[in-house]
Amino acid sequence: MPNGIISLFAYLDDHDDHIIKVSVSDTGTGISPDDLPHIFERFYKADKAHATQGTGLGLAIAFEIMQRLGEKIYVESQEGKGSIFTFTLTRKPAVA
Amino acid sequence: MGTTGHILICDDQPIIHETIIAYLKADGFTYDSAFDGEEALRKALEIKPDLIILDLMMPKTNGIDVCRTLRKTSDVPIIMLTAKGEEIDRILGLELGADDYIVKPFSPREVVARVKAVLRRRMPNHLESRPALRYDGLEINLSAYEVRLNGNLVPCTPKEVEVLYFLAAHPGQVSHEFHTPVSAPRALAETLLDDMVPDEETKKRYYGHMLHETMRLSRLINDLLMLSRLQSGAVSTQREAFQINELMGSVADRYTVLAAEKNITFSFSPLPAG
Repeated sequence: MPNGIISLFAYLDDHDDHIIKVSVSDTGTGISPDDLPHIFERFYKADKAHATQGTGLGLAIAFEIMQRLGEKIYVESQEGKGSIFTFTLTRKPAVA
Repeated sequence: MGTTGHILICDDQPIIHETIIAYLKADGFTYDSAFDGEEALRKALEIKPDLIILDLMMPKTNGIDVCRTLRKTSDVPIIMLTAKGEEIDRILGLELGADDYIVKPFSPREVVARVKAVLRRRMPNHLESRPALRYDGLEINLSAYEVRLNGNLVPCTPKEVEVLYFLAAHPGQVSHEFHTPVSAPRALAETLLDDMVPDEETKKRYYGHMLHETMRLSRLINDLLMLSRLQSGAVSTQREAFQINELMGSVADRYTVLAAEKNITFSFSPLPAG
């Protein structure tokens, strides 16, 4: 048995097929509703037990980049089940 | 102090990174990794490494083009990695301004030896151009890798000197987030210095821990620089056409390997055609 499953997948938005959504899901511990609104903040670490792993800046950097591009990045999570991180990419006609 | 510095390793095979890194680390070097030509260029410009190990055959932008582009603005030492039979490319690489080349398959020990040789050769315009920083009685001299307090030499590892130099050079960015990773190596260094460690095994563990924490600090510094550059607009975000499934595929390839090491299944579903 594997320790878990991580999936990377891309799909079109249900309502607007100019919007591509890219998601990464895991079957990990999930994020508590209290922590969820804060996880894109600098140095915010929900999982204090594993707080020594990362720098606490990865999601803040991702958020900053997506905001500058005018795209969305968000997370859905259920404790004990896992999390899904998603960002949007809006297709635009190529500029010659 | 011997030759040391920050090395950017550019190769699309993670295992190449791992072997080179093991030997670089053993010799006190710090490093960053890039897995394709575009990442190599971006990181070379952002991180400003002391030396770049550059694979010739990489996805997106090949090593020759990376070298050519870099040489327009930078004289950073470059060592090319080439596979056997890439003779023409090798000559081309040197003509384009690579400092040395190494033929695959290579021994990682040889790579580190060449890295040191190239850095030594380039020393005069290497680290010595950076001025010493002075605050009250504290002097941090990066060219000599020395820290002095009121004129007295403070024993520091090269990485500790680099971290101190960074913190002193960016006083506004020092937040409490730095204190945790800094405090552990500092306490461990003191403990080791004062001969408070009972046995060799513990000593080794302490050194390992110090290394781990300073590496983390270096990652923290890189991330913080990236974030502050984004927020200040020093790094621009531009839209660019790309093949999404191709890009996701290469990301998936890389993470499949990393996930497998932890016995995690990695699955990838590309964007459906249409």
